[in-house]
Amino acid sequence: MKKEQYFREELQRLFIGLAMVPAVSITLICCFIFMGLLLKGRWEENIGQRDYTAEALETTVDACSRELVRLEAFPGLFEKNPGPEERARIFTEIYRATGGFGCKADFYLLDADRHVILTDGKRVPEALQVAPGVSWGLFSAMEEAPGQTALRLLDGYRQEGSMLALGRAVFEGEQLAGYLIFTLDHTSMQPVLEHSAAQAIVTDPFGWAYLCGNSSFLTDSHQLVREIRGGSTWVTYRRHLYLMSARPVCGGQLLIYVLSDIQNIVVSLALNAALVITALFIMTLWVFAATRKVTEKKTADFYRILEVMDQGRQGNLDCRVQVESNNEFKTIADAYNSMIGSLQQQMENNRRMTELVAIAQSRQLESQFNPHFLYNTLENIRYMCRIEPETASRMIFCLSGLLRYSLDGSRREVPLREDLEHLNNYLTILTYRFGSRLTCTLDVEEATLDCRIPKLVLQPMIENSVKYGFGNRDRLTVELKAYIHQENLVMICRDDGAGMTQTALSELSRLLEQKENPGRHSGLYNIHRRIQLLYGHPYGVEIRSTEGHGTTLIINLPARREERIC
Amino acid sequence: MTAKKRWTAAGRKRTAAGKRWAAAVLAAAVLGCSSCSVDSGSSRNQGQSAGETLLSAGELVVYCPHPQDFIDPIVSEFEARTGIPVLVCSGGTGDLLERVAQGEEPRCDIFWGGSLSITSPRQELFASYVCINEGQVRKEFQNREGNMTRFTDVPSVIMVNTNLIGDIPVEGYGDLLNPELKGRIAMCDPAASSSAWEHLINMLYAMGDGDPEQGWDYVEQFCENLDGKLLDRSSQVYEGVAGGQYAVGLTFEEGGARYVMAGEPVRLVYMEEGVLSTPDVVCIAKEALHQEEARRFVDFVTGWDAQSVIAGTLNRRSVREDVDEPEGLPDKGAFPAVESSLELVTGRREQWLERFAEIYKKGLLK
Repeated sequence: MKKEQYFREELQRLFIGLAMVPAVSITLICCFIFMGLLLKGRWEENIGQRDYTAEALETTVDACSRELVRLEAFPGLFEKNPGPEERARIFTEIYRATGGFGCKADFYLLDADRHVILTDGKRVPEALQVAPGVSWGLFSAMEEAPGQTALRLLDGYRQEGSMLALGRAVFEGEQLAGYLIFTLDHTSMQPVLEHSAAQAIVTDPFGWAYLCGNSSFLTDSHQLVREIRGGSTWVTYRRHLYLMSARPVCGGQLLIYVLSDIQNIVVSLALNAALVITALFIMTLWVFAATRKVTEKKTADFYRILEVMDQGRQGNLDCRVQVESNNEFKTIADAYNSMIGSLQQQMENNRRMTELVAIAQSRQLESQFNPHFLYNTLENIRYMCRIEPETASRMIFCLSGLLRYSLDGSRREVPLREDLEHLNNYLTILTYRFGSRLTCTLDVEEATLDCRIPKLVLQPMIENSVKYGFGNRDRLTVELKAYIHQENLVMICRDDGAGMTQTALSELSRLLEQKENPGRHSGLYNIHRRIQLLYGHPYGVEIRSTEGHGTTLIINLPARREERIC
Repeated sequence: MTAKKRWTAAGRKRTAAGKRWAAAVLAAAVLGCSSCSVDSGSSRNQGQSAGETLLSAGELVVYCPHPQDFIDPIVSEFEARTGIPVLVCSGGTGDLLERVAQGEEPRCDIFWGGSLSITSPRQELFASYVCINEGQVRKEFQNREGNMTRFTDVPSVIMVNTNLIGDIPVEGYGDLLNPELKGRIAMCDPAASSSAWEHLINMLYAMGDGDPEQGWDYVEQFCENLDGKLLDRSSQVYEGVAGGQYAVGLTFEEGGARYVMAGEPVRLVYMEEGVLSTPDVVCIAKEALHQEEARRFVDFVTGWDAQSVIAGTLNRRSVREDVDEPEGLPDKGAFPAVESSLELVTGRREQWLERFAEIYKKGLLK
């Protein structure tokens, strides 16, 4: 499974590395560049509007000041009730002056008591109707700086709208002769604001507005809102983002603020970027899901082969690889399948061959009957024929039964019960042979009687005890036990005979482990070998013996009852 | 297996390099953007600094219940003359006084407006200052308390919309009980507005024949004729009458006079039962951050120039001896006056406001 993730991760990494990262970066970069270009354009337009407004204002104000200075020197200006000729002469001068301003200006000529002598306006603005002596508005500015042109924004008389007033107090000697005043109404300067889409506002240093194209920037008092007055390049006002530039003009007596609405640029580009990134994000999720499917499908055959190989390694050779697709994996799978098939065939052949060999060897071993015993028994029978012909006859009967049993090659395994019956024949012969010198006891559990054992296993055990147990002794007691212990049939033959020396025992044990028939001790070797051929390694004969204390033979077999496992 | 491992390592290296590359390009883009706004920085700086100095110069904060059209010409002239920028916070007198007491931001420097009968109970909020013009102030408007400089004299008037009134006679408080005017009278809550409070005092004294306790019967009948309409701000009264929402309104002289001067269909009625005229004040807050500028402001608005303009074009009566009565307004001698006791009135404010509110509520339930 870890490997499959490896494939998937690799695919995803490739996708992210080669597609997502460049796509996201290019989108962001494009958005940034685009936004930068648009903002730069807006900023240039803003600066353009600012400088244009500043230039227009300064030109007009300069022209007004110049004309005021020129008119001041005009003789006979403040004469009360000038004649028609005089009036015409003065008006010619005035119209010549206002004609050069480039915008409409009204002219007022006031005497020292602030009464109008001459004007080209329709009515005198309220801001100029200040009682004599009261230092207020433009008059206070003119009187404070005699010989200079005073500039003042006249506002607060809302009905008339704001206007810019330029005036000079004219003195004849020490005596105030009167006032020369030009007013520039906001309507006459308004076209200056319409140079570009950027919104310009002209105020005095305290924020009172002279010109403003958008009244939403002004308070009820016709003052520029504090958010803009205190703002920097980036201004947020009423949840709108603006680029702002400001500049003082006319010696700081007026201020120009220019605002460019950049809300749409920022919002649309941010939205754009957000949309693209969201789309890419969704794509990423889709790719993650898709790569899982693709890798699962593309690597399925591969992992099927791996799975089968893993099974094979654990010993299960019955699995075959099923590959639907027709690609390289198909070739691998077919090759593996045929290889496993031939391997299985080979193993089956080997197993059969081994079985045949084992059977052959087993038959050969079964057929061995100790000629020593035969000789001794026949010698006994000959002897018995003389003294007890009856007994000799019975001995012959037993011997012939035993011989028939040993020569019957039709079965290799018999129930314990049957082997015991034939053991009785053998024991009968031994009893006749040794008389009271040999005592033999059998202790066999009922449950073991049905267990299947190799033919002629019990007899060699007794035979071994009799053969080595007597030594120089007169008597020998042999005890045979059979019971079931942990699913194993255990048969023990114990005698109280001479026992074996340590060297004899170890030599015997070594002989039992040999594969070839050693010739000596052939009885024990015979059963041990047969058991091992039939049941495999852990089973067989075990010998325990101490010199002078008898010998014990232990046989371990799997407990099987009539073809079935107990 | 080894081949695979090598391939993985190469893949990782490739993606890591990709990330570094993307980061570098992003950084370059951001730098490029910021630089394009930086290149015009030099021209921007001078403008910006001009804008910033405007607001950081320490604005004089003026709390003011006067009408905007009255405030603006005086404030702009003060700014132009002194170079001191002013921030005006407008609102009802009661509300503004409360804000001074709470020390709300922006911190009040000048309390400009509000009749003496409302401001004097809160005189602990104000610093003592006797302006340089005190010598020219009429005797009855002298700053006796030491911190209550009188600004103008404000008589209460009834404002009538001549287009709406028809032939209903309105000459004083008595005429306001006319059932034909029910629900057509603009009156402000006396707790919120100083002009309405002055009218309440005026009613109690004028209709009680000098004993305010005798005037409450009239107040009850009057409240019934209000028909449950009580306004929040004094500006709603004169705007409402001039705009035609109400036929008559109880307001202060200047509030209505502006409309008369502008030629609107409005006339002022000086109550035949008697007119109460109370000065309003201009005071320096104790907690003022701009004491020096505040003094200049008080001196300016009580000065001859400002008082002349106020009387000449802004329709208010000056407190100065050397300034004439406004043109177009009747002399104070032309209408009957009502005298009230400042001590009594300031002492009973809470009690009277409560009583008025009760009567008004009773009218609502009916």
